[in-house]
Amino acid sequence: MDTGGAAVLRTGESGRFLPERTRRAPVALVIGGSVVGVLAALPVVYLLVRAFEAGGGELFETLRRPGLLVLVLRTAALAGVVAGASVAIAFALAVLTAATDLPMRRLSSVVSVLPLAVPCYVGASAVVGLSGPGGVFEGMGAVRGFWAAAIVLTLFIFPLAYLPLRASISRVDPRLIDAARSLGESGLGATLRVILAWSWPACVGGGVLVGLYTLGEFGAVTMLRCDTLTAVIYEQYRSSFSRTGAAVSSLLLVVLVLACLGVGGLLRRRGSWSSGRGSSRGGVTLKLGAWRWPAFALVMLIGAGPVLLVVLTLLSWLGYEGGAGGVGGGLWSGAATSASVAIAAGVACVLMTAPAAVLAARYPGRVSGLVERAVSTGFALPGIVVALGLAFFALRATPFAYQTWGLVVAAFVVLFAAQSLMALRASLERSPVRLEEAARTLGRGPVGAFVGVTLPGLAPGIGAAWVLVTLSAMKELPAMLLLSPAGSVSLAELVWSSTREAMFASAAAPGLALIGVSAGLVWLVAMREGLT
Amino acid sequence: MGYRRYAFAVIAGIAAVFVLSMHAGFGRAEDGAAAQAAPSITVYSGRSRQLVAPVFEAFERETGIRVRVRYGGTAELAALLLEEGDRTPADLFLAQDAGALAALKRAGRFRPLPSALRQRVEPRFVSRDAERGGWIGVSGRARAVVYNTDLVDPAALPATLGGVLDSVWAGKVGYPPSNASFQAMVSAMRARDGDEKTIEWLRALRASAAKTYANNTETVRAVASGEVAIGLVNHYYALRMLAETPGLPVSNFYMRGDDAGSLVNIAGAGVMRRRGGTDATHEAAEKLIAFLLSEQTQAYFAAETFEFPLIAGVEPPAGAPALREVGAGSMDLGELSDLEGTLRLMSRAGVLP
Repeated sequence: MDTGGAAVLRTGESGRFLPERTRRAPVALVIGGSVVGVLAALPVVYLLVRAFEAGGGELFETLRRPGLLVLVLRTAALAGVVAGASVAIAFALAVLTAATDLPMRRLSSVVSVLPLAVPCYVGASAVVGLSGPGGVFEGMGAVRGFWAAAIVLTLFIFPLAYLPLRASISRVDPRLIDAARSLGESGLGATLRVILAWSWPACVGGGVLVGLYTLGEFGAVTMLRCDTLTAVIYEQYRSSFSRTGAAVSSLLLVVLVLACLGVGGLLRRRGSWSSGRGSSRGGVTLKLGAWRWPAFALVMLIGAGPVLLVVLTLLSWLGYEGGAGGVGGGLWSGAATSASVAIAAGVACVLMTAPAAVLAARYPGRVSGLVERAVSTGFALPGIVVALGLAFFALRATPFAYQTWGLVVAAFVVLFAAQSLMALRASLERSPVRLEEAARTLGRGPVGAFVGVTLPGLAPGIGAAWVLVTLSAMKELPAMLLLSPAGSVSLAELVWSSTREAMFASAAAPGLALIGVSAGLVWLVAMREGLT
Repeated sequence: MGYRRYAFAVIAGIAAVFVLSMHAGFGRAEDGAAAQAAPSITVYSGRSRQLVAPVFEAFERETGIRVRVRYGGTAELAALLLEEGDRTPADLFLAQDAGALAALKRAGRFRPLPSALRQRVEPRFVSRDAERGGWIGVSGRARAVVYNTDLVDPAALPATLGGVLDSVWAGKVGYPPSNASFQAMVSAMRARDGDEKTIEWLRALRASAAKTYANNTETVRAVASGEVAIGLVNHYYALRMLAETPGLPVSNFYMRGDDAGSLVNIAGAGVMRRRGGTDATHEAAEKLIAFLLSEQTQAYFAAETFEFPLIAGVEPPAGAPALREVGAGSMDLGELSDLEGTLRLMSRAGVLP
């Protein structure tokens, strides 16, 4: 299926394909794509209601709060540092696992995603435990503060950037590297530059995703005592019970989200170029030579090291008195509930974001921009805000759905659609439009052409989207606690409720189960969905 | 050929839906006819599953009333209850501290408590006007001075919070400013002595080179290791630690002065006002409170959490005196709900960022 001719390098005004901009999106696609955006915007509407119901007074009171600027800057800095470091690690691992002759590439790929199986709050509590009295790192001083939070978050969420990068780099158009060579560029540096430029949209997309995640992270930052805006939002719910102050802080967080997206947009435009023809069969293989095994060891160290550390810590807690008990039969039903809700949320998210992704990739414009912003906001808002927002609307509009699993899945769609949208969109943007057009000139309808030609190539993107959402949903806590039907048990709740009482020992079993089920999902999908 | 891959996701999705509907039901069918046969109530519990699930199970066995529980943080659940208003499905709220209960009472969310229940505990552990709607304590959490028994002569310990500022304790005091129970004590101080005296006390404490810790547990550990000589904490941390490691050089001292140092806070409960409530559910919720205040449950709390039983005739937790010997308490726990003002004051005093 040679599309013919050499790849064309072209720097578009916005880095997008020219032909699509001149076409209008089908109405059905616009409507289908907007659904997820509207859903994701509900919490923001709720926040506006709560922030302004008490008049402007409390709004200004909150905005005048001393130290607010420092707080906002610290939050933004943490998001920036974690995003940058994650993209750097993810790029290195993605190149190694997707574009070299690394030994055991499939295993390496799975291991590179593995850290996502560890909830950040579990990772942080293990680190706190290890640096505390009796811990391995005792005497190194308490691991606390900005840099501790930055390192822990990076170690456990860089796979958010790895997955899209991996998908992108595995499709690098080899002709580009040939072209670079033919222009006199040679050597590893040139090849890496080509790969970086090729995967730039994925770098930016992944970085933005990590940044947004960091903005909304709560468990690890509070445990490591790095106060961010989200930590303050929780503090306000705890201290005032009025919900207005928390709503105002949450709206500030929304502003940070928009800033984060703005930065992402600038970066994307700056470095973006695309191969006019696209490539469906790409991929390069760099020879590592003597570095094959050291590189393999590095991948294992970064991917499996922190996970292993956490698992060993939990295992050692399991040894304490009461470690194995306390939870008992709840563990199995908790695991079943967590896994089923997470799987359902993954499927719902992929289905609901698919039209939005097609819209964003094929007909970028105002609607797709708004949907992207809404969905990103949902991702960065703390779970408690999303849960309260959905409770607010469900109680008024759909009381029959309140406290049902349906509402929990809806909350997970709000919280995690951004990951799915990003993965699907990146995958679509790298698939050859021309083939679809060719199919249409051969008599296929638009849907038939999409399903017959483009969809099969999207498998890695769909797999990545599903894994990301499912893993996040497994670990999610506040929305699950507040919205699930009363009487249900989830793994995340079991972990949380034991660490809360400082009964670390009884957190060990559900924590391990959570990591185990998540790791199992990663494995399953990596094997089945052709991540490798 | 490519479709096989999607079949996997579709099957997984169907399986998930199936397991879920098997599991808990996508709807809440049990709210209907079945509810009348054997009443069933919904509890929002700010106390952890590990601690209170056995209590609810015993209640179900004893009464046949089914209890469905949502576990969560006390503050998060309070925010949800406020958001739900009278549309809440909750019949009863079990909270970890009096502040959240006071906020819900202020919003008019609680039903009246029958006098038979109110009379089970001392009046200081029941909200004011509980006959018109309020909460009741189910276990007691006292402020204590934890001290290192190797370093300190108990006779020399400060009898009041003012005494902690004495120069002999300079640099020897530990406290957890970000901890909720310490903040509740500061709230009590504000309610009793006013903001000015409170901020003076906090500034003096800071000026005396008192050391801050992340939480009660770390504070007690620091006292045990001799890093500081005394710590301002809640009473059960030292008792719990002593039960785990007998022989640690720590012990509790309970201030008896008429100030916030002798505060006894509570974990408590209230019956929710809700649209779907019936006489049967109200009665069932009151029965559950009565069960929480029964001798067997009170003894269980004392043994598991080292909290003070609030009804007469139940032994205090191991290593603690009887409740009547703790706290001079004329404090109104309902006045502890202005945590926001307390936090602002603490950051003005420089003990919180």
